[in-house]
Amino acid sequence: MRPVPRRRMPRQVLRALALAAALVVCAAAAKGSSRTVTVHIADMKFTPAHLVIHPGDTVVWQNDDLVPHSVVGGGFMSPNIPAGKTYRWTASQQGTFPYICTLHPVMKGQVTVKP
Amino acid sequence: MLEKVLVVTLFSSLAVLTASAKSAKAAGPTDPQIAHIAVTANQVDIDAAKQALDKSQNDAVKQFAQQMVTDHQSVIEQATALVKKLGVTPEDNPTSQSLKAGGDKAKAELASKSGADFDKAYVDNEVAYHKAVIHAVDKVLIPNAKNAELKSLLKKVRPVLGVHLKHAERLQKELGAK
Repeated sequence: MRPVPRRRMPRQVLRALALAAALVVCAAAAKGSSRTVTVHIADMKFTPAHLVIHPGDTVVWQNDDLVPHSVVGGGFMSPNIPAGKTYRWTASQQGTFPYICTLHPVMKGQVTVKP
Repeated sequence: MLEKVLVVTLFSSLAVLTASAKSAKAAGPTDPQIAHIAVTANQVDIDAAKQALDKSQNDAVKQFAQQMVTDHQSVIEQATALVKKLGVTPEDNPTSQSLKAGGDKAKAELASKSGADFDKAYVDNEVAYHKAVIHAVDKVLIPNAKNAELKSLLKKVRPVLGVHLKHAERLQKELGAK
């Protein structure tokens, strides 16, 4: 009597499962990785003025202006940042953090940290 | 009275600059002259601010004056570094001399004032001065600058002057309300 061949999973199903597994791995990796985002201080304003980041991300304020600036808000307080220098802040908690340049209070920005 | 003296002096020096730049086929100020004018204009405001830091008893006026020292000193440093890099020697000229003379005259007039009178006169002068310098930067210095980096520096100074003017105007309003 001939043995009954075992049913084999169709190739398409196997490919779909492999793809799904790969996507799950990528998503997990992305969630754990952090980014560094730059805010340019130029022409007496912050660009971008509103930033959305995740916990663990780092914001770098780059002073491209001719004069010193600062960034002071609920979650961070920089010293005066001389022309050409930077200030870094890593977000550790969620929230919305409006900030100003204390030297030139017309300059306003906001960082929103969300998962 | 002080404001009128200052405005007349300042506008006359900057008007001479503008007129010479506009006269038929005139070349306008050269890059070395523009560099000298830029440094002089910043220094005049620093000198005025130092006088205010010394004489004013008003915290808001002193904070503004300190900002003028910090910002204009930073601009001078950037401008000086640039001309050094470009191998340009700033060239003294009638406009720079007139700016300096106007600044010295204003300081002498302000020296005789004190208290709220000094604060008002200083801030009124700052509003007029920044308006005049902005006009000169827009109409003469930027258009006549030949070197791209010098022109770029002047364009970067422009928004700084705008913020200073807004600050001075706000302060002028606050002092006027008292």
